[in-house]
Amino acid sequence: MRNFVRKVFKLYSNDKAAFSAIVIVLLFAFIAAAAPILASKLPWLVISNNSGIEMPTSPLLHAIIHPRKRIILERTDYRKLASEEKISAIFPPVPFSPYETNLDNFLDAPSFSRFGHPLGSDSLGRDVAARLMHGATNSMLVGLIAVGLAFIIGVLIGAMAGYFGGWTDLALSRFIEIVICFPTLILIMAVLALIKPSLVTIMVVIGLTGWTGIARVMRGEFLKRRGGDFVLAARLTGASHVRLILKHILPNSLAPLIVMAAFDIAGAVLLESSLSFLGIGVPAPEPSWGDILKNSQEYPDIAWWLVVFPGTCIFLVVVAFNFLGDWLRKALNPRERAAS
Amino acid sequence: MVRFSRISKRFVLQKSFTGKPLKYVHALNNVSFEAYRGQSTGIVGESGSGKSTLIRLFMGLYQPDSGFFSMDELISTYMQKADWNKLRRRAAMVFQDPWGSLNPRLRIQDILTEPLAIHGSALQIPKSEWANILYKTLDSVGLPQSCLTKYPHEFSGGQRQRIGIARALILKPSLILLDEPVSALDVSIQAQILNLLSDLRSEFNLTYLFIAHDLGVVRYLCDRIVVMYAGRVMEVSDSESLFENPRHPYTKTLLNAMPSIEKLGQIPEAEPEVEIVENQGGCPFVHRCSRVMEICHKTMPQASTLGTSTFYCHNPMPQI
Repeated sequence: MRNFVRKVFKLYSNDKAAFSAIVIVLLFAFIAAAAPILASKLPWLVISNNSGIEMPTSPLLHAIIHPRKRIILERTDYRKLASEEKISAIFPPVPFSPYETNLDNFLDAPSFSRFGHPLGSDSLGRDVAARLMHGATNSMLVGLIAVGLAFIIGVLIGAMAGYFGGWTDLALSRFIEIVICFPTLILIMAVLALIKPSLVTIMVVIGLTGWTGIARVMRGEFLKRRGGDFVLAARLTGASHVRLILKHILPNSLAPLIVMAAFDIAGAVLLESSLSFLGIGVPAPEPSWGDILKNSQEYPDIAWWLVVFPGTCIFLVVVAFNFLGDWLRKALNPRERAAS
Repeated sequence: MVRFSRISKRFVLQKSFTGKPLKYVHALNNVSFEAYRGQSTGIVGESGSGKSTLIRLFMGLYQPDSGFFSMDELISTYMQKADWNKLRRRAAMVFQDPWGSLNPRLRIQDILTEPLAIHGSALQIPKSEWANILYKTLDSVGLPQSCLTKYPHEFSGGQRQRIGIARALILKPSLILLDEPVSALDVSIQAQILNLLSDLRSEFNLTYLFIAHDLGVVRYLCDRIVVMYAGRVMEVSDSESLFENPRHPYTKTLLNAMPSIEKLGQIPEAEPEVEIVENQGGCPFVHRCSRVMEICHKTMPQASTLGTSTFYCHNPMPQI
């Protein structure tokens, strides 16, 4: 096992594309996980307070520990107090909340002055950087959970079809083909017209429509392995179906699926952005990359920052996951591993 | 001990649109022979002669279309699930391909304990005994105990085949089915494995059912030989008399194809490749037989037994 890890690592340190892909994925994962800390109007630390307003030493930490007090804490305008030098405080890198609207800041261009919008603001005066970071959380969550769901359904259906063969296979394969025939985007739009879109429904809907590819690969793997010698050997010893599937076939069929999952995450992120762009994604105040892009549609000639930054984020994540999938394909294939 | 009685098995090659079978291939046709306890019975024949089908049928992978086989008191026609498990404890199989027959994701100890995990409770082997059984078995196939924690890819072909043999031996079966166990190995390693098999036979008093297409290997290991062609038994005979005095023309052809010291330097004349054709009613070998007569096309010969040899031929080779 250690040997395997070393070999995989060796391959990956030689592969520049894979290396950058992993760095980008880890970076976005970090931003997604840490967005509430990295982008907030609440300061990290209040060093001195001459304003006469009572406030905790770390308003952000306080709000995280006591979520109910967040609204009260956010009523205080710390940025104003800080610029009037009534308090001195350490702010997060992006000192804005993603929901904060301020029509005075209608389409502010990116500025690096203190408390300026580093990546500009949108038509409601919301900070683009903060929305991008919090949007990353949503995008990553949708990608991971939707693909996880698709993975579970696909593996179950594909494994059953491939393992049992015969009528089961015939019925399940036709079912898979029927699901493939639906145009995904339109199906999702129809479903979301019926049920209220929320982060959870988007994940579930993308997962429920995205499992067909995994099921087909799984079916093929099971068909191939089912007749293999070591499966036969276990069968001849009298192994049960459960044992054959879980111990002998599944562990040997997972490599191509892990690769597929990486590509599918990219697809899910893209799909979520498309849905938000069409206005049926994550509902309104929730930030999403697609939503920022939608906002840009009305002012493409004035606000370039509304196009470029979310577009770059989507592009980077999708490309990174694709490279990651490509690298996993190589790393998990012993023959290619041996060759390099 | 093991008896195959008039076993036939056909596979559907082509189905009509409504699912009605149109074309068959007779993998086994009226196969009857016996294998005796403590003896090694070799089954030889070219590819497609039904050797592997026979063994797979015995392990319950296929149902025979007609006929039955038996092992001791177990008779295939009447076997229930519990009886199949009994059969699987008494008979184990070694595969041809040592690369494909071991699960690459399992450690050797997991591969070897699998039969115990499945049948251990029925055989009343407590878990505390497992390690002991593993050590003993490894020892008897000549592998070090250190290999238990390794994965199959860390071994050479010969070692893997030893692991395959160890897996077959774990439950102490009385019968071992060997599906061309050495044909995928180097010649030098073949000899080692054959010696091992021969030692194990006397050590555990095993009965072998040995499939091969290499007559030299069969001659070394087997007491009785079954010659098959196109799903039919051609000749069953004691090893010695088969090599000394083959009675069936097909056996003779097989023996002639064997490389030997006397024939060093000359390449045996290659026969034109003949597709094995279904021959309704007649002997399947008529298209290639040098002693073919008119009757051969019409009826399948009955079994004739002369001395130790039983053969199915209208015009057998003369007895010496």
